[in-house]
Amino acid sequence: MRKITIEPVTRIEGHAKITIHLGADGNVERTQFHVTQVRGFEKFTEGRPYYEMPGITARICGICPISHQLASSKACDAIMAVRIPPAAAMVREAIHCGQMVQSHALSFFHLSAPDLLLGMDSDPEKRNVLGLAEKHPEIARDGIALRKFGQSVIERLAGERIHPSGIVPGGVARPLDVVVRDAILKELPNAQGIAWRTLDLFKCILDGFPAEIANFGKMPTMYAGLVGNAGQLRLYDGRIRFRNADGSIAAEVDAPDYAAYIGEASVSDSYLKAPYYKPLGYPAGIYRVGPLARLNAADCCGTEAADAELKEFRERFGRMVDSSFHYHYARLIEAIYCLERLKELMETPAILDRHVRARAEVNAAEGIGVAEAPRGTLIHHYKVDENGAMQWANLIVATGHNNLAIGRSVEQVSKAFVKGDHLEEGMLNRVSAVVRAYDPCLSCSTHAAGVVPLRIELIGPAGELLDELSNER
Amino acid sequence: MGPAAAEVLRAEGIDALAVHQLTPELAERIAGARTVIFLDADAGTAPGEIAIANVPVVAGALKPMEHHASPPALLRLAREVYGARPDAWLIAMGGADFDLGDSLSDLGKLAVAKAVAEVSARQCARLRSK
Repeated sequence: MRKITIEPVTRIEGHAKITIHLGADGNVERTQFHVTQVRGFEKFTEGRPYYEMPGITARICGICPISHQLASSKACDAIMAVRIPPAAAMVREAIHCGQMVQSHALSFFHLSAPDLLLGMDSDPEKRNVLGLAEKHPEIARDGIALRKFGQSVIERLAGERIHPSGIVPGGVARPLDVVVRDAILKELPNAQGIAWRTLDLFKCILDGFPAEIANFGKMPTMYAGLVGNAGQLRLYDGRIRFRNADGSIAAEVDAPDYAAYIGEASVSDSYLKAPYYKPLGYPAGIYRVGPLARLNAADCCGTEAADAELKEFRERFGRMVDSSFHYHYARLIEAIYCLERLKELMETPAILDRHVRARAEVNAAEGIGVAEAPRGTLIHHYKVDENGAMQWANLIVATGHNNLAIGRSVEQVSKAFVKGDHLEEGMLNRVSAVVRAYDPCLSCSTHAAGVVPLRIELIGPAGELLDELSNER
Repeated sequence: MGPAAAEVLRAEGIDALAVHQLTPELAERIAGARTVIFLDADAGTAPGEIAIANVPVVAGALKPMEHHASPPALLRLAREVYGARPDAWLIAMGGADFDLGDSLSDLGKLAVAKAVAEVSARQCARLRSK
């Protein structure tokens, strides 16, 4: 058997390796997706006061710290047994919208657009944001502006752009100022314009990827995401809905009951665990999370423009869209939703209320907080002693839920595109690209602090290393 | 060390940002400047000392930025997207102790002071030349 190794997988957050095993006939026999990081947050936070957890867990990641702060603060709210003031919930959700926009902008424009707009087979030296800027400066400018807007929302509402201090147990640290509110409202139309024209551009180029659409994780799985009472998309709060591949709802679960439905399996060749839908067992209980999964799980977005786009999306690809290539499309619809939702929140007078924090002591020994991170459902589960010292923590992070799906997607793409008798860089780029479609955050999901980049190895029938791709330049 | 230097420079009226990492949207900020100076703690520079280097815009292949960028990549992005070509320098500040702590070492403070003095001197020279 020959083995191909792709290391590092480029243009993702974190470190991962892909091993492709070729059979004697030169065709792909099997693949492995290895995540090579270990971090230890769940262990080293033992003994810390629970109210430090939002600040500590925010530092799992520099890309989606808000998600961790939100889920962590919600877990702390549960330990305190408080219902946070309505204005605090709205400000938290507004910060979350800002984060979703900046994260989705980074994912699309900087990480995936080089493949989508320059071509999967284009010169790898130029297939990056600098090459994109050279050929399409206006698109690069849009990407920078949209991400900057999202970052500015976070900074204005939460204090800092990265690892902000404004999301706290019991609510938020400070009320929303009317001047800040007005500034955000003034800048929103420009951000919305960017999101709309980016989606329009993407819809135009989509027909250029039939092979990728057919082979980038096109498979039946369950989907999971938060929904509201009317089945609408929810990112900050809601119930966890599991929907089957055929569109039927398998379960709808309150956050405290997640453990009855989500199990975690350890895999031998990766530090990333593999969550699965418990009633179906492992690995039959494979499910996907993140933008595509959320749009499949929800009945609607709940905002006008996003719902119009969602309707078009479903008319084009079916009610249950099952190709992971369409994470890109879903991500752009979500950006539109978040900007609309942000506008709704900013235009709600009650968001300016000065009461934004509930205060209490420890009133429960356990707290669970769930929110939708840009990449999928994020769960923080804490146990504390009577003094509030952390005794135990479990973090099930968005990308972790997608571990099984990413692995199967890598196998599908490898079998479709990798031919062992004549390796081409574009083949291996597609293997990396399917991982990028999920926009994984591997640092988050592995609880890793490593410098091992992502590597693809090609291994021959006799176990010899035939070829490898590395990101060391 | 970077944030400490930025705080002092802001007090002197210089536009200074303290960031965890260089991100793509900084290209827009850079594009509006005539001169950009990057300040960073550096284990390879003698503790308490600074090393100054010009940061060129690299025309050829660069390690591409992903979630964070290098100074040359940011400058390149500023050029490609905004047509901007600011002068750019990197001041490496030699650190002494990179373990967790709650304050800078004496040598770290010395390097910060030297870096701040260098930036201030360049700013004064620029203003005099106007």
